[in-house]
Amino acid sequence: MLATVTGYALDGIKGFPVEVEVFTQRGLPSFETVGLPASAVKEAKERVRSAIKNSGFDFGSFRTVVNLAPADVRKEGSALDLAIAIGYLCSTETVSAKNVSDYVFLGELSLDGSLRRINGVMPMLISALQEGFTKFVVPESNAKEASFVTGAEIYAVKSLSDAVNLLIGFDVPKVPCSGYDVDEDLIPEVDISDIKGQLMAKRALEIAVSGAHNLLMSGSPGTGKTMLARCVTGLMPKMTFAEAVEVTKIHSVSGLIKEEEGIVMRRPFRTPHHTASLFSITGGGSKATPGEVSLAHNGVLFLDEMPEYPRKTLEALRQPLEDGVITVSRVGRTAEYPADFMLIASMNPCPCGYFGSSVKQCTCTPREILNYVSKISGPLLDRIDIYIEVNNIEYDEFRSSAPSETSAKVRERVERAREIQRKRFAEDGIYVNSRMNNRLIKKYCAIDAESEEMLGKIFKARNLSPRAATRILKTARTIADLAGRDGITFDDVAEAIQYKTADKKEMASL
Amino acid sequence: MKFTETQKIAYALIKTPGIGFVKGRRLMENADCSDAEKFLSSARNFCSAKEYSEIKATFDVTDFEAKERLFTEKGIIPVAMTEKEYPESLLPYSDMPIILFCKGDVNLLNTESFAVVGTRYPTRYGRRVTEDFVTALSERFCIVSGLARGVDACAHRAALDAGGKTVAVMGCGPDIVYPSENYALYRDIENYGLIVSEYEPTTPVNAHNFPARNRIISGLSRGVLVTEAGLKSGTMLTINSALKQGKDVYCVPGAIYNETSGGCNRSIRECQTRAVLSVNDIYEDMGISKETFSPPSALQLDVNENAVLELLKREGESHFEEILPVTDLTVAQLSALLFKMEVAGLIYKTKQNYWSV
Repeated sequence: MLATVTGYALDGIKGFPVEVEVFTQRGLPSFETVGLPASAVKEAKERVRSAIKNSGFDFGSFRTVVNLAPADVRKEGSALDLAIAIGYLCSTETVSAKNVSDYVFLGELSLDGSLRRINGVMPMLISALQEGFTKFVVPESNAKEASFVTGAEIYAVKSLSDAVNLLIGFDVPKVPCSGYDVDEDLIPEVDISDIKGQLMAKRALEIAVSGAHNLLMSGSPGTGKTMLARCVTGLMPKMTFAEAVEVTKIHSVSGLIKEEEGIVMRRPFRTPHHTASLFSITGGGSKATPGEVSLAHNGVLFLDEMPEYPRKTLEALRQPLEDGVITVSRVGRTAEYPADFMLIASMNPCPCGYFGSSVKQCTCTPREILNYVSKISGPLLDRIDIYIEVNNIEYDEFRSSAPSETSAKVRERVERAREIQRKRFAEDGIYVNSRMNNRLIKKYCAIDAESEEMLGKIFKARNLSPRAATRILKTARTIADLAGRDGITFDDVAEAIQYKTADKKEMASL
Repeated sequence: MKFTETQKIAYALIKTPGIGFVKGRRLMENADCSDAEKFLSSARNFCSAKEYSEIKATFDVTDFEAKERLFTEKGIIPVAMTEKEYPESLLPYSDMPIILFCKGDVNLLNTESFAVVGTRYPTRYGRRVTEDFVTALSERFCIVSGLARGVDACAHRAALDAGGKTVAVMGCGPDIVYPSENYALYRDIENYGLIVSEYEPTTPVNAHNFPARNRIISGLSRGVLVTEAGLKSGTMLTINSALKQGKDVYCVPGAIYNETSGGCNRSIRECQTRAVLSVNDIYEDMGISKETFSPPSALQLDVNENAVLELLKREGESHFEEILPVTDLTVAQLSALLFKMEVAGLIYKTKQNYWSV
């Protein structure tokens, strides 16, 4: 006879309902799955057969057809195993199908009938809630993640037989909703107070984080660029629940959620290596999975040794840097993923790494240096507001023990500056200074005549592009916000110019 | 252009194997150079029979018309030793080329010149010294250098920027731009200065030719200024050739820990060269009176600006974090202050996060 059970499958970071129709009739034993199943779904029949038998049910001898509707959309992954197994049991009347339509079944079966963890529980649940489903059966190992979806009735089961027990009326407790509470202990691996000295760089980080400006650090090997980058997430404001859910959705699809945490509370810090392929950065592959830019959503994408990355990869960053989303188009599938990250990049000043260093003599020719810095294209540099040179001086014992500010302290100031920006941009559809367009810069970044004159002087002397001016103004706006000032002062502009992105020629000359 | 008979003779001589600077010069000065025929008949008296036949053979195989076309196309002007354009300053030395290949304003060969040379990898300090000295020197002198990267290029550029004249002595053909990054500079010198080489056009770059041109650089000049040079720098060769020629060599000292100033400091220490601290020292030494530069007018400075200046004057160069404790400013304020002082021309950034007066 026929049974219908609801499962869920993923399309990008959205879920869509899959009607699992199972029809069994007496005849030569066979098991067909139709409805555009991907290989993992096709293979489900062997897991289902074995799980049913090993859970103590009779598999019988039937001619079985499983149809996955809608039949014209490809279904990926193993999350439909449980729905197929329940459908089979209902169809062979092993289990009564009375209340089976109340639930959405999610889970991968193992051969012994227990349920395995699946990816993408949170996005599927959120989509399902919007579609009107309320009761969900999920593997126990996904329970924590599911519990953050407010409004859903979650039943966590260990095995196929537990799921059947729920259907036939045994009392299976609902998983209580988890509250979102960012732990104070969630400090990042590097606290900014762990870094000695580097006062200018620290200040630049504070400004960059406050206005969500992208940042480029140049410095010789061993000057602490990576350390500085690692403390950025700790300076950023704690994620709101909505932000955390956005991040969790992406990470969940990629299978990066920790079982016991269930939700991503720390801002992501992604460090793809420069040998990473283009699609692993942008997202793609046959399943159009999210790439590093999306995994860094609401967090930091750190490109160490930026000029080493292939040009194509770097150019691909331009769309997400501009729009905060990335569109991944693959055969028969287009997915749009959020990719609103802060870009932190580091580079050596030259191929040998010691150009301009006081420690070691540089052995590169000017041509080599220019070629090296030219690997970062102008349009990309235009999207990096803050450029700093990192180097360190030797510290003696006394000074190294002098206390320096903790990340939490800096974060307070950052949060205040962000608040000011949120209020200012309430009607403009953005929330940080770095996203200002020319119109908004005109509106919010007025400077006095004295500053104007100085900018003019600098521009003439250094032959800067007009784009450099907008970067300086945006940075100056953030500096003023950090100080809680309404207007931008002369000093703000003067400081901002220190962090201006150098143009290539300047980077290649002392 | 057309070769004069003298130029033809000089050109043939440098193309003849076995005829070097000395013999070539003897022939040019003693034989009758008014035309090739007469030269050949009179040259017999000043060289061996073998050499004579070699010279004759060169005359026979050289296609002067083709060379004339090439020179015209490249804009090269040959200057032979017995001609009036030939720099008088080179004549006292026996090892000077009997023909020079020039491009640009040939009159500069006989103006009063000063050589400015140094390392190919200068620090900001070296660049600044070069710029400052050249700007002042170019008021009086034509600046001679070697168009290498680093101090040489910087000196040429500064001379042109100051509206002065400059001569580049090349170690390859005068039509070859080497290093290629100096292309724009090469073009400017060609238009507003002079390019000189003892090698004929199209001679490719050859490393061993470069030290040889140093003798021409120093030979052309009244004195040689070395703004920055490491111990192993090629500039040390220029110093030696200048000293052999009896020229005055001036060195700008640097910090003793700076490898890039090691050559300058060492040669000062060994009393080969004279230390100079400003252009006035050079003028004084040469017996040229020159008004002393007036110190920059006193500006109204606040406490912190004074503190920064004092520190930088004492230390020479300080890192941002060394400057911070002498002021009572925050990181942000100091950042802004340093920038303002930079704009005002009081201090400058030497390298990553270091400032100097």
